[in-house]
Amino acid sequence: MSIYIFRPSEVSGGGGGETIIQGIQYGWEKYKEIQVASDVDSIAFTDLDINTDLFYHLMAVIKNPTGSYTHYRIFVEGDVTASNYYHQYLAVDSTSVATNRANNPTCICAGAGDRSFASIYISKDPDGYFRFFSTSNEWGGSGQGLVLRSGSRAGTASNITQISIVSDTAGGIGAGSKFVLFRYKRT
Amino acid sequence: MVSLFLISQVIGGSGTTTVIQGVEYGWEKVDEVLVDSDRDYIDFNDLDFNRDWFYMLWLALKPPPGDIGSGYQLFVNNDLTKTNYYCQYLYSSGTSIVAERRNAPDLCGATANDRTFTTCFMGMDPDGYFRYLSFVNRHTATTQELLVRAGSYTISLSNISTIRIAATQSNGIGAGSKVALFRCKRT
Repeated sequence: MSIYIFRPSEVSGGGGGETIIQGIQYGWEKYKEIQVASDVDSIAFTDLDINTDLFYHLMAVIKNPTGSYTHYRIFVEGDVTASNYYHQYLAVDSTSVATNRANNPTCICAGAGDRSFASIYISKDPDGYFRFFSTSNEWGGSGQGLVLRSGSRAGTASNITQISIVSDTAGGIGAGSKFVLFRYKRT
Repeated sequence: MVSLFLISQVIGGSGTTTVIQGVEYGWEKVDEVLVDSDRDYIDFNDLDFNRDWFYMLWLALKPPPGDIGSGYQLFVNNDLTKTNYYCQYLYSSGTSIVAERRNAPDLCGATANDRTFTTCFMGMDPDGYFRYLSFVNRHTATTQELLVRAGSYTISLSNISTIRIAATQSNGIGAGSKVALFRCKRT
């Protein structure tokens, strides 16, 4: 059996029965996606391996179908105790900038009946602490807002195999919400 | 014979067939533009946000030589009416922080004889509103600055098929500017 390593510059096709394929060997690979069909409290990505992948990138559009302002929190390894996490935020609303630290892992918020769009970087630092950085596009129209959040878990983990997004309002992740998780495919 | 490779396929093969492990789904380059002469705008057509969900832009832009810089704005589906868009930004320069909401789809900008490096994520939320997040590195050396923006379109869409990056100054996208557009290749 021969081993063949392909290169991006190579062209699809080949002579005889040979198949040479154009593609990307390493990079940001779409690993998993979730499209929410009916309102749920949470979504989860399982079977992850951050020791192998090092970094994850989550893109999300969320609809809050409830009548309450809703926080969406990012948990790892099934540890959904909010007080085991902290985050620092910078919230920008017109000419106002508010900042504070909170004892929970909120990564996105959405007003009642509103939507948000976010990009979240996820890693485990060299000492085993889960860390995330989210940039969130919230509200809209003449109320357009921007929130940056940087968070971590207070305890260490030997690996991260599960990431969940949990609404603090029942049914807060509405139908039509979409999530794509990219992994850094290194090998 | 052309064969599409799958993530789960294994390097190796038998006979004359070569099967290659690689990234089938992920951030795929849709198109790129290397600007060879000053221009007003760059269009990307034949997009499909319903299919791809998310897009990503990388931009290295410069205004043409002279004493006028340029802003750069982001339009969708050929709607060039600036007031149909809003953005919220956070601007950091030295020890100054400024926040403002603007009734326009500002993406980034560069002053005279300077340049900007910007990344931008785009998506359509579950109710059909275009949203984006941009991260801007501009100016250089002792005037280095950063901006973060969140923007949206005020009209709900059934899909997005075109985006335009438009300079606010005539011929404001100078020769040597580079733009690459990536899509979230899901299927």
